[in-house]
Order: sequence, then structure tokens, then C-alpha cells
Amino acid sequence: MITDGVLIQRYIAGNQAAFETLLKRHKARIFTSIYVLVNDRYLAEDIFQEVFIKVVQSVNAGKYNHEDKFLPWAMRIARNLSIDHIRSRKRMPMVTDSEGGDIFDNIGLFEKSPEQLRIEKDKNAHLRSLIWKLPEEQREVLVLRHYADLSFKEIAALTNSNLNTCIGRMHYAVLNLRKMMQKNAVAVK
Amino acid sequence: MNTAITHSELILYYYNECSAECKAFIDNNLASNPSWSAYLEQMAELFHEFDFAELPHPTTSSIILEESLSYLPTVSHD
Repeated sequence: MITDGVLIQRYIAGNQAAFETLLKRHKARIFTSIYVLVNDRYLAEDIFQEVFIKVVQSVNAGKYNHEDKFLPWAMRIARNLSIDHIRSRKRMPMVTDSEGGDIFDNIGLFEKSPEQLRIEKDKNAHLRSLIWKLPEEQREVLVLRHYADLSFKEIAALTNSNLNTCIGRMHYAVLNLRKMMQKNAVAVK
Repeated sequence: MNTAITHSELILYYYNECSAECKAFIDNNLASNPSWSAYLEQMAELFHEFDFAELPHPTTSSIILEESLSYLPTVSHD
């Protein structure tokens, strides 16, 4: 597999397909992480775009010096923008479909039946809402480990935290999510 | 090796980030420590539930690619 560092070098040398490969390789992880962090599809789209515009600008300005550590670097940008936006941006009015759902939640699921789409959309929205209920520090560690697939060492560096603190936050995130799931299961019954 | 394995060490083990020594110790003693297995299984079960991926709208990706392309020199066909 061609490493991220090589893809970036090829892009700088004029190979657009290399950048396309880089985007395709990481877009699900980075977008999912942002979406789960901010729990707002529109905002996540904006932030995702902003992240990669910054990536492009930095790379073309000769400021990329992370070799094959592209994902931790991009996630640092994503995480910082997410936090900034959560704290300062006002919520945009949501465009809904005929059933009152967010129209963007159906994007990318074209091959499934309407019923499958609805079930998946509802389930993902529910799971995101549970993660959203976690304290910010626990949510952040959970998202960066589970969705962005960064190591705890990388997460500690990114969040300027102690390694054991990060792992502790993950432990409590897991505990709290399990409690919420169990409570939810009882409520459904 | 300290025989008291903490939750932190189990989390690192789950993600394959613990030291080789710790990994070997847990591997060798997992069967006789049901509380460790239970903790690991609970994590696996939870993360299986939360295993989903979202994708950005194709338009967003197109905008990014246009931006990336704008920096590249245009090819002359003279």
C-alpha cells in the first residue's frame, strides 16, 4: 500500500489522483469522527470541508512535515475546528424530508431499501445521541480512538493530556455508554 | 509483572497497545480470570453496537478536490 507520505509527495509533484486517493482513504474516519463529535450533519459537512481545505493549503505552502502521520495531523485540525464550532456557531435550520428527518442522513445509502435506510438512519442517530450525552472529554477520547482509530498515545498528544488520563476517560466512556444502553433497553421493554 | 491488571491495561490490551510483557501475561492468565474476559467482552459488544461509518455528501468531496486541483499547474498543450 502506498503510504500517506508518498501520496502527499506525489500530489505536491502535480498528481491530483494521489490526493484523491488520500481523501478516499480517510474520509469515512474523519467525517464520522467530526459528525459524532458535533452531532449535526450540516456542521459536520462544513467542518470536514474546512479541514481538507486547510490540509490542501498547508501542504501546498510546504508546511506538511508529518510524513506518514497524516491522520493524527488531520484529526488535530478536525478536533480543534469541531470544538471551536460547537462553542461558537449557532445551529442552522434543518431541512427535513417528508417524514421530518434530516435529508442528509440518507446520502450514501442509495443501494438499500427505504425501510433499511430508515432503520439504519434511526439507529445511527440514536447511537450518536448517546455518545453526545457523554461528558466532552470522554466523548472526545471515545471518538478519537474508536472512529478516528488514533492510538491512545496520539490522542494524549493531540489533547495535551496524560496517557493514563486518556485511558481513564475511555474506561468511563465505556461504563457510561453501557449504563445508557441498559437503561434504554429497560425503557423499551 | 504485577499480577493486578488494571482496567487501563485491559483497554490497552483490547486495542493491542500494551507492552509485550503485559500482553503475554494477560494472554497466559485470561482463562483463569473471568472478570478480565467479562470486561473485554463487554467492550467488544459495545463497540460492535457503535460500529458505524458516515460519509460526507459527494458535493463536499467535489469542492475539496476542486480546491486541491486549483493548486496544480495547468498542462500546456502547445
